[in-house]
Amino acid sequence: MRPLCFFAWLGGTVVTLVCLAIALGVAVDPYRMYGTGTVPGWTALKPRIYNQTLIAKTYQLERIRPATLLLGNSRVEIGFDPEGRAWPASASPVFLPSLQCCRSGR
Amino acid sequence: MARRQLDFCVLRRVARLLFDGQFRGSRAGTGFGWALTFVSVVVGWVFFRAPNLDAALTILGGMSGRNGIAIPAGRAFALEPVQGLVSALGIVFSNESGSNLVESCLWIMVLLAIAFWAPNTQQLMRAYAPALNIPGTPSLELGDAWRHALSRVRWVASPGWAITTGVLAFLGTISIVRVSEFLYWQF
Repeated sequence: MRPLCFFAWLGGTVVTLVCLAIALGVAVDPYRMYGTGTVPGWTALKPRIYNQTLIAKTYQLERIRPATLLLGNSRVEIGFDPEGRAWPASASPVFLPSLQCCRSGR
Repeated sequence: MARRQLDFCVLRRVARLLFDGQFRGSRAGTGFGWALTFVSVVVGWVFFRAPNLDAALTILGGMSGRNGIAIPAGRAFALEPVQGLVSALGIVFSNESGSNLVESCLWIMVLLAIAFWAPNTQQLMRAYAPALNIPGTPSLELGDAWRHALSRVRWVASPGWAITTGVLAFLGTISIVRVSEFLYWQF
């Protein structure tokens, strides 16, 4: 086997695996970075997010760009529903970076 | 590194003096040699990683069972058939993760198999003279058919080896964020 051919196989393997890893990362979206839809039973639960709440909140703030930000302690977390219909259109999207990270609604 | 090699040379000399080569080449001699080398290396690693001699001796005491044996309570059911032996050995049950213990044991088994039986880099690359005066096929001396088969594994420029190398390169790259301290950092 010629060296060029060997490196083509090697490079092809690495590139294929990198593409698969990226596709898997976007599909599963473990930190809600991309806002990919969830599939019940497959990607609905994202337990890793609770270990990396700072990263998850930052990426979600950047992606959602909320008009209303609900900040506070657990009272705010329990008392306000960012997905509630009472929020006026001018206040949407609403983002609640709660302790357990995070809820939002438009 | 050189000091450790020197220690092992001394160990080899002592074993030779004690047994005078009477077990040389036998299965028992080979097994004893493997066990002695393995235990020596594991004990040596403790001194490499420990911050001082006292800490190393404390860890070695724990490893040898001086502080007793504790098993996660979640795995107690597995020892019910040998309850008498558990009591006799003074094994206690702790509130630690049972799945961590199982995972660690599985890793140890897999890695031990690789360490003991998989060909090393010199053997894999032996067709390309990886070192001066390298013996032809050293593991062929070990005999068993399956070990003989493993010893025939060697690197060649082929699509299979290219894919294997690519997979290892990928796994190595995505694992780069996991901190694993260099064993010899203290020296």
